[in-house]
Amino acid sequence: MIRWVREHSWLPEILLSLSLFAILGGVDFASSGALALVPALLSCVSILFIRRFLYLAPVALLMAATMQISFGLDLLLSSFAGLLTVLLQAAFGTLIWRQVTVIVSNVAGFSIVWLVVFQNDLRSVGGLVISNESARWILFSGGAVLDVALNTLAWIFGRLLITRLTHVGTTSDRAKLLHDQARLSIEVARQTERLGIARDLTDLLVQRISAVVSLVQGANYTAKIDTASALRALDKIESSAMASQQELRRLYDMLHQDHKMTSAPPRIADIEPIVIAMRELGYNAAMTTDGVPFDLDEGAELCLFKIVFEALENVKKNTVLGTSVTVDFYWTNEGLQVLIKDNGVETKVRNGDSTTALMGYSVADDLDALVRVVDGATLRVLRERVALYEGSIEANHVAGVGFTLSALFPHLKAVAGI
Amino acid sequence: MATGIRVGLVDADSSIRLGRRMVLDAALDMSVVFEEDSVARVIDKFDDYLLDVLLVEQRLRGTTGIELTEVLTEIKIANANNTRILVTSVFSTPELELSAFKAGASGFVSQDLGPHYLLEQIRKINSRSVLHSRGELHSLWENAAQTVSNDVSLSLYLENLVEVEVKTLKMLVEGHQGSTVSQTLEIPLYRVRKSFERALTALHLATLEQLQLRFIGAGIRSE
Repeated sequence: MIRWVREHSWLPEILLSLSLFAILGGVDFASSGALALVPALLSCVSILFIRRFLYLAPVALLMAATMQISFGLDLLLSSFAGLLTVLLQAAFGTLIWRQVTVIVSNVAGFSIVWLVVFQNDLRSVGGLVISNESARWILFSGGAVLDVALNTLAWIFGRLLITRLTHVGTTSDRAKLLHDQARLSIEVARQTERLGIARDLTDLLVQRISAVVSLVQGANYTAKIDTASALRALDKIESSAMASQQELRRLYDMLHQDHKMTSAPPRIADIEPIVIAMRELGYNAAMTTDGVPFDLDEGAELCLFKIVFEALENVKKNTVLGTSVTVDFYWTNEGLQVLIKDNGVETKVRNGDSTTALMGYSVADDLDALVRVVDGATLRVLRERVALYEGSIEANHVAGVGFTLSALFPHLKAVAGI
Repeated sequence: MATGIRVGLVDADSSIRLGRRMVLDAALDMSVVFEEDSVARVIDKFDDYLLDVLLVEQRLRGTTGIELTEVLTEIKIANANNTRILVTSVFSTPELELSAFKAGASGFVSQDLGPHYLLEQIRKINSRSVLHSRGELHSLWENAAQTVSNDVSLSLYLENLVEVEVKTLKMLVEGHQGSTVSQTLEIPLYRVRKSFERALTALHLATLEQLQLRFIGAGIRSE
């Protein structure tokens, strides 16, 4: 369920908004008339903006409260849609906008309570008669406290929800993790066993090669004075070298047999699950494909997978949660460009996590982004891989935004197409 | 009756032993009088062969050359056996070399250094001269990332010696030959030898290299 929500950008919000509008709006329509549909609609619309265009959510909530007050309506059930917006934005929104939304929701709540208690000539609540002004103030205070409590509860529940989803996971996530761990444990045990065998075989090889060297040295010394000894040494050298070769063959067979067993290198199709996993970790990751893909050999597909994988690892390492990252494949008739862009710096600034929040970026940052060559061990390895397919790779800081990695393969079809 | 340097070979691999034997037999000044692949039999027979130099390969069945050297060194100390041990190995590392010297080996030769070097080392070891300077062993100590710590028994032993004996030991540890020490300190050569033998006995050591490493390990320098 949560995976489906994260895989789709707008559909979950639209479905939720429509459902809520149908239920809550319907109840409000029945109890308060057609005018109640306007604030109900606005409250439900605010749910649309829990992950995209976050600033529109508090605007919609504020407009819903204004409409409700201006129409002089009593308490509406659709106000709970506002609480749901607070909850969901606390889970999925950025720091600033989830704060703004909860404040707006509180203020809207106060205003509605004020309207109900003071403007609508309220005479009694739940059988209790409101006899004087003091009773109204007590009622308003109670309503305000309830409003704050509900909003705070929604906020806390939202944060709890996202924390649980990100760091604990669902039952199926944990089950998958356990399964993966078990599989990896078996793999590690198998690899350890193989390593032991390889070590033993290597020991034997060292022994055999050492014997060959020793015999050659001996033969070299005796050849001049005792030809018969030298010939005996040659026989020994031959048998020792053959024994070495057999040990080497065993080692070769073992290593290559295992290679076949585990040789299912990742392909381009395996990138999509990684992008989804990025979303589950809390990044706004998306993947697009432009043009018509052509078939590539395994090596080229592995190379492309490695590029995207390393770029996404870099995003995880260097950016904050909520960063948008896009993986774009541009296929041409002969080649391919892979572009991985993130807005890590922008997100960090927007979240107020950086001291440069109010400064944006400077001319120096801009210049630095233009002239500084991004380099590193991983990038160097990727460059070597990419060069095998006549490609090039470029990494750039985009001042005030984030990081871009571009891999260009102009002749990929000719080099690795099948 | 074998002439020249009496050499013994301990190696689990018969082909390696054959190769070594051919090299040693081709040298006119040494002969192989003992050859063994079993560690137990080596320990049993070690004292019976009056060997000058015993070549112990690091890779043995059930143990290592260094462990065997430790056992043989105990036998040497107990029976005043003068056989010198040379540890051989396919590869060399500072740790391995240092361990061999600590165990009581007088030399260490890896296969990649070649048969010429092996023969040269056997001759040097047999000459009973000082083979390693303090500086060489100190470099080895540092390369093997060893640390210096207080050696109470060595300090106490040196405190109870007369000044000339301390100087004698320090000069030997530095790598000076006995004759040079004798001339410098103006004492007879036999006193130099006696000082050295007394030190080995008191500190339960068998070789000069072990004594040098004790000085290095304790951080004791010559003035």
